[in-house]
Amino acid sequence: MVLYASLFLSRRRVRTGSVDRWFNIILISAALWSMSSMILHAAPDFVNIHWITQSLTLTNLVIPLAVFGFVTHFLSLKKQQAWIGFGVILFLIATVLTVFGFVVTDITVSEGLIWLDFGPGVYIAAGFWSFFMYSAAFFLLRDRRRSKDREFRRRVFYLLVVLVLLTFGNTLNVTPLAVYPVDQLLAALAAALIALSISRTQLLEVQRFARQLVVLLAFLSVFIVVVSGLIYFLGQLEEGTLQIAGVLAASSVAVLLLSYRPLRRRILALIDRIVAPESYDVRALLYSVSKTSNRLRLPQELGIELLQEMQKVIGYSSASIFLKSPSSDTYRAIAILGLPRRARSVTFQTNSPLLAEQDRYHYAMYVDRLHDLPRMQALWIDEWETLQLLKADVLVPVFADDEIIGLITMGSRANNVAYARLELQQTLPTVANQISIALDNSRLYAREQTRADALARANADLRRLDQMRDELIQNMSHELRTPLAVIHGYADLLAEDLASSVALSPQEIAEIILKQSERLQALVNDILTFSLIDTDKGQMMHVDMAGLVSGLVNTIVAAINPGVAVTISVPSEPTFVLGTRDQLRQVIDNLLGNAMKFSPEGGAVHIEVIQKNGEVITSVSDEGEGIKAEDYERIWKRFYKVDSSLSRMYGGAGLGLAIAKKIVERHGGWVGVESVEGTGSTFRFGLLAIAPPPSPNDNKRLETHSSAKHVAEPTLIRQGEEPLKQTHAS
Amino acid sequence: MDRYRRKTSDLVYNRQYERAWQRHCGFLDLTLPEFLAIQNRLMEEQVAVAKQSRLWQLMFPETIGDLDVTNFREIIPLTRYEDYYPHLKDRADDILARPIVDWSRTTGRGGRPKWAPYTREAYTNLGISGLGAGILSAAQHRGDVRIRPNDISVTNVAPRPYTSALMLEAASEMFNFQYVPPLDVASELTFHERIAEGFKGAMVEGMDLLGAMTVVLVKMGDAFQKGELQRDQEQREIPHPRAVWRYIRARIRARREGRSYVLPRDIWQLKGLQCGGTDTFLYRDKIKEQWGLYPHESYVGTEAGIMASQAWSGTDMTFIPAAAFFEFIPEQAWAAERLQGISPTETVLLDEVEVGKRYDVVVSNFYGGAFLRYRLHDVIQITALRSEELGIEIPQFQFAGRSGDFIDLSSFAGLIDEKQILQGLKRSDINYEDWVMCKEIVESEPHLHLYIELEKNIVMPEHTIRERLHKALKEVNREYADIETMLGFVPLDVTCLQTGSFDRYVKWQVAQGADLGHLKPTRIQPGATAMALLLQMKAAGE
Repeated sequence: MVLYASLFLSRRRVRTGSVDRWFNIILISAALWSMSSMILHAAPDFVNIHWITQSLTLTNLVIPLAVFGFVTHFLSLKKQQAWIGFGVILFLIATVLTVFGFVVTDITVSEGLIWLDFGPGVYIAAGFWSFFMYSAAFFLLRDRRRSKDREFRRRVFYLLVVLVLLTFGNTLNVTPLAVYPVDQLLAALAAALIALSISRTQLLEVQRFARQLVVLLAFLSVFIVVVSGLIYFLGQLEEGTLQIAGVLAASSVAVLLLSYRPLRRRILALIDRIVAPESYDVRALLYSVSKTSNRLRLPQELGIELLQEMQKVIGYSSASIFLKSPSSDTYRAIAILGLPRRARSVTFQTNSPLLAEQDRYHYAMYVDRLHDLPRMQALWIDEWETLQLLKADVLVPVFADDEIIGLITMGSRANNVAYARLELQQTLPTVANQISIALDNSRLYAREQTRADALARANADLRRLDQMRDELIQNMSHELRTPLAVIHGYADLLAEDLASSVALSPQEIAEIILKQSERLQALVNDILTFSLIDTDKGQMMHVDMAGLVSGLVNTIVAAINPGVAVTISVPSEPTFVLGTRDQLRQVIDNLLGNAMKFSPEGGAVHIEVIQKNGEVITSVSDEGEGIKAEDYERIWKRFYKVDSSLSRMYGGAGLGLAIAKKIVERHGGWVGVESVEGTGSTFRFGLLAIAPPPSPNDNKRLETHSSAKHVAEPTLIRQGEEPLKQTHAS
Repeated sequence: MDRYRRKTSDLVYNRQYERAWQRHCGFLDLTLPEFLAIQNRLMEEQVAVAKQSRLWQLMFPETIGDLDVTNFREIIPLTRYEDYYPHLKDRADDILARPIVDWSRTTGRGGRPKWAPYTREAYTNLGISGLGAGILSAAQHRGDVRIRPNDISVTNVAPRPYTSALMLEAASEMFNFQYVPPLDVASELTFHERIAEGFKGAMVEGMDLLGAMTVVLVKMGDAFQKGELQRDQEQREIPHPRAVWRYIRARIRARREGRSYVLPRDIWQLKGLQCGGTDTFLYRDKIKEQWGLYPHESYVGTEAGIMASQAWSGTDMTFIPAAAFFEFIPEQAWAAERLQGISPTETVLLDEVEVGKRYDVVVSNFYGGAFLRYRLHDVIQITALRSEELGIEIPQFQFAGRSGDFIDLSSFAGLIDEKQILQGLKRSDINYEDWVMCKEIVESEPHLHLYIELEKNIVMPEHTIRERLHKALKEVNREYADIETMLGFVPLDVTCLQTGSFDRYVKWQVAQGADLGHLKPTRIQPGATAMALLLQMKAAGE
């Protein structure tokens, strides 16, 4: 009765219909049966034994009918009304037989035991019992076999156990074994199992407190029965008052034990673990999350720590946190736990219905249920598979300013303990809010960290530039001072008329002065060119790169290193780009000049122009000493020289490549270098190819190339043809 | 059922009716923008997936590179089965980008079989929609899930590999129906045997859900009324006791209503009744009277499965957004095609349709399916942009018929086209000047009506022509052969036109300034004006 009252009072307002009604009937009849049995056993002298027996028999008959009614509704069996009507008729027959004494014909109490003599009606009663209980068991087993649903199968399992206990208890009742407290013990166990099945399977929607109470009472009754039974068997007290004394004693002990608060807490916690494993101390969870959140971390580190902390309380097997990427329309995993490595690369699009649905409901949802929402039909197959990869049972949205910024996925818990409704609607969203704040702080921290890193990098760059400037000044002063010193020296010789002292004619001295002044001028020009590239408003026009390259080669070869063989490979058709002819000439000039300078005597330089993937790519390969891989980036910087001694040998301010890069990039192109140390380097630049001009007068192809006097002839190779000629300088 | 971890029957076991409703009938709760958003997103996926398929690469080699969800309606023309036939005829397993789990078949025009591949996801979706139709057929209001595990389902539909059989199998993976006869047994039976076994089993086991062709139900109901089935019942050697009890109970019910005959509704108290056939609307009241329920209809096609379904009440249907991407050719476009041979190019979407207008349906598969901008040649009529009564926000429609030059007399009779009639007339050895064929409803029954002008000086009674043509058509069209058995009458009428009727029509057309290609009337369903002109002389003669 207490069981029933506690369940009834604590019930949520959930409409569960006829299943509930039948369940109530089972509980009431079981309670009445138990009470009648207890009274009969405990105080046979104080009551009308005949009427109590009748009552016991009748309530006993209600149970199979109620169980069958419950099962027919629980399994949605067909023809429920017909079956129950049939049952009611049989029940009425059995009732009549019972009332008129055809079931129990005589009752005697002897030595504390009740002896019943049964009449022919007992067969009908037993048949009634068996028919409905076994039918109920049959239907339960049948549908359990048909269903693969774990939850359903578990519920049915508990119900079957309850059926077995009830049947066993009833069988005991009509045998000499029906001695107190065995049947009482069975009744209490059955009640405990019913309570447990309600709790473990959430068969009925009852509050956590009620579940605790029910289980507590059930186990308490078992305890009392055991204690009073022990007193009964071991005690020497007089019969009659014995049981009452036992019950009172056991109850007193139980109340005393429960009044000790720490013990009560432990017992309740133990019960919680049995009946409501989805319940946990929310305060402890929040404390743990907020404590973790207080530490400044990068989002990735914080994410994994949060998942680990929550795992300790919630008990999920796997989880992940996704955050909206600030730079793209995707949600990326920042932390994963208990998932395969490839889960890290999972992304969700912002337009995914997964997130749209979360945005709509604002609370955690079962993935399983999410699939049933009509709008989720828009989910892609890949997204289903992603959820499977993430082993996600529950999705918890993370909000900031009422806007979804992330998603937490949680996997199943040990023993497949379901996430409770309160958990989904209140606990997890509250935790998610806490996490949202923590992640926001973490993001700010990460942003500051990035900014600090950038500042540190800028500082380092400035220092390096400073160093480079110092080096430049040293180099420049050397570069400038050397020709100036030469000019000054030879001019002084001329002024003092001392030319004969160096065995040079005035004319030769003048030539030296002229050459050194030209070198000086070139240096100054380089510096000016570099600074003026951006302001040069040269005319943009169609430029045939192949023609341009061919035209330039002879001049440069003659001017720089006539001991180097040059080969050229250009397409048979003009290759046009849009650009400033002088600036592009400067690029080739610089690259080719470098290649010639750094190639050893007798070496070869190859220039190639090709059109590929909508680009005109010009490459210059030399057989110089090559460039170290770590210098690939630096060589394009101003004033940088790969090797200062070598550079000094050839002169130059370290601006040639920087100028080339700046010009090419200004034309929307790219530059690159490949090199093998000791073998040579290839410098390339690419520019967007354009269609030929309508009137290509300005872009005539140079078909032939003449070599300058006493220099190696550059060789022209038409692409797709064999080289026409290749000459090495002696 | 990868996507759905729990079967729908498990949801029902656990009294989660709302979830079951949302899963299968939730499309009725969508708004139009939500409907279109689902369509667009699934199409985006489809284009990305199907671009990788061998089929699409073979079919659209030039455009496939640029194809995306924003431009597919511009760069892909409307397609027909003939476009797919060379690639699908061999039923290659690797023709699609996703694994094919089954092939559905139908008989196309001219009797050539059409095959449609189903991917796993499409197959699952077929089951979802099929079960949804079952739930809706039994529902009486929104959210009303009345079907229960172990309900007995009798379905007299075409066997595998027809779509309806596939749908049953897919639905059976989600719900524990008790099929009578069992699906594996049913697949071995002929159409007639399946009907017989179904009702025979239902006499013993009972029946909760029934799916059948409308004409079969009507014929059965009529037979009950005439007492034919009762006589059959009496002729049985040893009737099953439960069948006898069912029959006795039915007689009591009939007697209580003062009837001397038993109706199917006396024998079975059905939860849901699903009917197939374009003429179901003709028999709604009759079926209600005989079977106790109004028939529930769905719009099903081999190429895209269940595309639309009626709600729990009313005769209008609602499109299912996950079934396929829907486009609609406006009436004027397909009319222009029919009259002037101009192929329609432009289509509208569901948010652009207008009430009262008729549209030819174009579908594109989802879930890696084969068909892109596939024209079904089905004409629907939009009846409302929303249903105020049922609270449905998606446009409502009714099936209006088939576009183009064929007649759909009754769903199981196949399509009757000009070629078949020509073959029939040739076999019948009938010499004629010309003819037209119309579908007409006579006393609530669909009939083919041939209006024929015989050659000069040839006299042949109309009933002779009728008999010969009927016989010949039975040879030409296998489905037509069953029609007499099914309907219980010969659905063919013949009227001989006066000599010169077609000449007169041609002259009239010339006077109207018609071009040479349109001087003669369309032979199939020529239209009211043409018929009036053709019959004018006959009326004058009489």
